Amino acid sequence: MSWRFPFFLVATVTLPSVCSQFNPLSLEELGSDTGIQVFNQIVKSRPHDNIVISPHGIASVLGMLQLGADGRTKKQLTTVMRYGVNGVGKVLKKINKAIVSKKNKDIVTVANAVFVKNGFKMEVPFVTRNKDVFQCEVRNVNFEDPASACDSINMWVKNETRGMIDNLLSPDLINGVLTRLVLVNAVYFKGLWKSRFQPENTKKRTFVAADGKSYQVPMLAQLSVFRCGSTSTPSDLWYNFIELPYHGESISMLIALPTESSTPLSAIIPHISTKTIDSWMNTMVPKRVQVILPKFTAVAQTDLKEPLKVLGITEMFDPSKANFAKITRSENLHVSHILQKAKIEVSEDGTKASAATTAILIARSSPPWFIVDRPFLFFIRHNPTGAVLFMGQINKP
Amino acid sequence: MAQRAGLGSGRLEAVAILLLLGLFQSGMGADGAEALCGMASQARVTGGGSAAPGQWPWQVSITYDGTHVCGGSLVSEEWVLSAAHCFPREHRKEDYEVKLGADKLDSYSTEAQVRTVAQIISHTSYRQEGSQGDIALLRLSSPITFSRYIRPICLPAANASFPNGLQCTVTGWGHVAPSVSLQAPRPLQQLEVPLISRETCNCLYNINAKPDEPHFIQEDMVCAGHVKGGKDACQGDSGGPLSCPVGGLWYLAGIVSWGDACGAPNRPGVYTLTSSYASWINHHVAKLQPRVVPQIHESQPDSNLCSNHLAFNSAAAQGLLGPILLLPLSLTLGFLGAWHEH
Repeated sequence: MSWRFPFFLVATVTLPSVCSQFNPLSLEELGSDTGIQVFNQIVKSRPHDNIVISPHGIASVLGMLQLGADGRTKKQLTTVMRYGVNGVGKVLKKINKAIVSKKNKDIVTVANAVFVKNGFKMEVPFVTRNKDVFQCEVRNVNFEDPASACDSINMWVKNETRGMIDNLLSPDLINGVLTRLVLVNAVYFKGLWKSRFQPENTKKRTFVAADGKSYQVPMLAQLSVFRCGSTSTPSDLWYNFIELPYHGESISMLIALPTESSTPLSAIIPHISTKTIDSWMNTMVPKRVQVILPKFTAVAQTDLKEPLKVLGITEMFDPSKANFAKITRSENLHVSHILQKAKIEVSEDGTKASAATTAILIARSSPPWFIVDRPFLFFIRHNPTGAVLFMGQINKP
Repeated sequence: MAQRAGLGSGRLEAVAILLLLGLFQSGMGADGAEALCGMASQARVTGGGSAAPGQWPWQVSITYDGTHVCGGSLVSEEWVLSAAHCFPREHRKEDYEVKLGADKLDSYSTEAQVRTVAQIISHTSYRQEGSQGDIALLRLSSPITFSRYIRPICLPAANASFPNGLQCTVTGWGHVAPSVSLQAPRPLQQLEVPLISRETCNCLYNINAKPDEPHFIQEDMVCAGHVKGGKDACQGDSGGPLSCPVGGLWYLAGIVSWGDACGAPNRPGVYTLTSSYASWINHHVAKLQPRVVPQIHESQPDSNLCSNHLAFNSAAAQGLLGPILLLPLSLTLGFLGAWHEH
């Protein structure tokens, strides 16, 4: 018996500097929720690392796999995701289009592609459904030469992420004889802050990292009106959150920070889901606040196989059980790798001068401070759909 | 209090002695109750930096939920004058406290007294940042006993006029630069700032103004500061005093209110003109009697502070009318300039 290896990769990128109208948001929230659960699993094993993932990217890749899966493999995917792509294809398509809509002003690019071995025959419905729902393109590569196959995939990813992510794949992940297809999802985001941080206000300040050590890092500062709030976990640990909108107003960065510096991030992460984020959005109130936020770049490559297995998606990785009959009937396929690489850049850049200079922000009373000087969580959320494009924990900027 | 450089104090110490003499004189001349206001026991130190304990005994710190939010000025045993914007509607009166006689906010001092707030009277015309009526009266939960460190400042009467260029002092525990808070132990900061007329201040605020962010100095406001920037009040100083010395007494000429950023060039600090609220204060608290400010010298025009930009800015603002207006304006400027030389 010969086992064939397709493998599936996810690449995601963001380049931000850093209100709902659309209303089948529950579906995309289910998708992003799966991603958040994956995040939960990842941080359990890497509590002190910087982690950046794309919940929306994970949902897209799992959705594409769902279209090709059958039997128990498919059942596991639909159980964890809580929806069947076939049943909601139209809505999903609408959501995916809304996320990349030019109306956002901030640039969001979601690129999905299947790289297929020259001459490999795929089921037509798999190709057309993927194209329709996920705007997924099909490209031929010659896996027999792993180095050049790897190069052309990496080049595609680099191109789609405007140079933010390169070297996603290494040639050793491609098996010249067995690899049949590689599935890639790349998310690129470039947002400008609605209210720019003044570069002259960026100063080195102390950040106390998860290891307890103090680091002097450049931090952005801005006095402006931001929506913010606070809440507690069921075990009564309080944390604060704030919304920093990007200029197109449909995408925001949300930051969550434990109120007490003694509360570790790991104590609040299990509490966070798209439902929690929704409740933040509904309880935040605009406030004049002095924000201090590290200027940072974080890049993280994550193997999603183990976290997905813990969540109950096991069969697709098992050569003897995986069922991808809807991709092809001629060979037995299974997923050998599912990787994601994501990058975030947070800087001063924005469209407008800091709101500290606007007519409504001139009073000289002392505003409350929102100082991000210890480990924090961030989310980049497409508000009309509720999609979480990126999320992460930053333990040391 | 934002400032980039301090001033030397050598030459100005002589002034301090003269002022003290003035103090005693007026103390003897007036009747006891009135003379209590506007007197500080410390010799005056000029320039900018940390104040000495008791130097500004009317300065109070107003906290909300235990955090310093604003300054204020003690005007009697139980009334404090501050800024209306320090008391947003959604804040509960019970969450405010007033600390009197404090020097360093972070160290304990036996001289300092804390009171809760029994009543807040914000001016009804205050709407939003930059609007008129940024003034509020606070009644302390119980009267305070005056000491060397706790004393009231004099309230100027309605007809009071402080001459342009008068060196006044703004004090507070506010930010030392935009987005930079005062470091522990947070000693009270003081800064000398000359008064700038409302007209000249409006002219300055029109230099490099952004059309979508209009700033207008209203009739109940006065400016103080340095045209070249660098030294100014900042976030956390609001409500605090702009203390001006006239005839040996200190008067509350202004209340820290707003400014474009802090210490930016051509953006002096803007203060609520206390004298324009003399009758409002008296209406709410009959026993608070504003004091007539002796007219020591005539106020001189200060339009020269903005002269380099006056013609240019008016032209830009008037659009097509610019070329027509330009000529008469330059003529006026030439006249003022010549007049100053004599």
